[in-house]
Amino acid sequence: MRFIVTRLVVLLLGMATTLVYAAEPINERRALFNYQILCQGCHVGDGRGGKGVPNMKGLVGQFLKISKGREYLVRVPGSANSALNSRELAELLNWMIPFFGKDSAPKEFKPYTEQEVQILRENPLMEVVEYRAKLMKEILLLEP
Amino acid sequence: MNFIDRFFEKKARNVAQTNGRRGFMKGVGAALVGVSSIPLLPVARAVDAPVLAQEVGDPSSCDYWRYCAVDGFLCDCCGGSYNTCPPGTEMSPITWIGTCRNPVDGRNYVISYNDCCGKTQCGTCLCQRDEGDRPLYRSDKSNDVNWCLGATSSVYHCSTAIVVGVAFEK
Repeated sequence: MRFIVTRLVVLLLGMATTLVYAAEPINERRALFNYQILCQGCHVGDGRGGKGVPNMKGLVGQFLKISKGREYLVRVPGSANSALNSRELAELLNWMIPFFGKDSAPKEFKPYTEQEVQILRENPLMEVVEYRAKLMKEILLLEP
Repeated sequence: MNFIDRFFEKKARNVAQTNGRRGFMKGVGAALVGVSSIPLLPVARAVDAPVLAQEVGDPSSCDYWRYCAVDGFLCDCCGGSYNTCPPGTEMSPITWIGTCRNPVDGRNYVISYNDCCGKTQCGTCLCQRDEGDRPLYRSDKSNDVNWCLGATSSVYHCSTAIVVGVAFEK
């Protein structure tokens, strides 16, 4: 009897964690539209950016190699201050990273969850350019 | 049977007198070239375009559906068109983006108002429809920003209205 109860508890806990931490499936059309309306103006249709706007094409996934980089992508003004709710912001990031970053993200990349995005965006970055340079230096040091 | 022979003989001589022997080859050649050039026509190529908006209206008038959120001079009146810059100007890659409803199919399309930069203000066809325009503190949704800030020269000349996608309806 005790055995069954233990198994049941483990099973329930397992289900609860999936509910909290599982990333929502991505609606690609919604993600693309949100990108077009809220990001494309500066980041450009293919993510290559422009004058003063960093290039994400084939690169943006690099930030996921370090935890501060993972946090950075949510804490930048465009993400943290965006009019999207945290659920749609998580979806947009999860869609965008492979779409523009191609294979720059590490293979073990775990999608952002709504809860994670919600917590991270409450701590927005005030100085982005210097912080970004610092992170890039750290990421480049990781390279073999 | 004689009359059939006579009929065909007459016809054959007729054809031989009026048409050259190479006429048939000419016809076949023209047909081959004609058929193979159909895919080059704009009608056929348009099928491959990612977003195909059926449109009505005058692109040099402020009422044109794509200009629902425009604030500036229409490039269509300045030597360019609704999606190209006039000669001597550079299209700013950084732009302001909104949606407009196309009256033909009733769908909302994502419109990118890329500014053309590098020459002084065009000065004709000033349009200020500003639908969906937000104050400067929402700078990504404000058309009062000089979007030429993304171009080599920040001197504003005129605005285009390029369809970049179909809106996602919630």
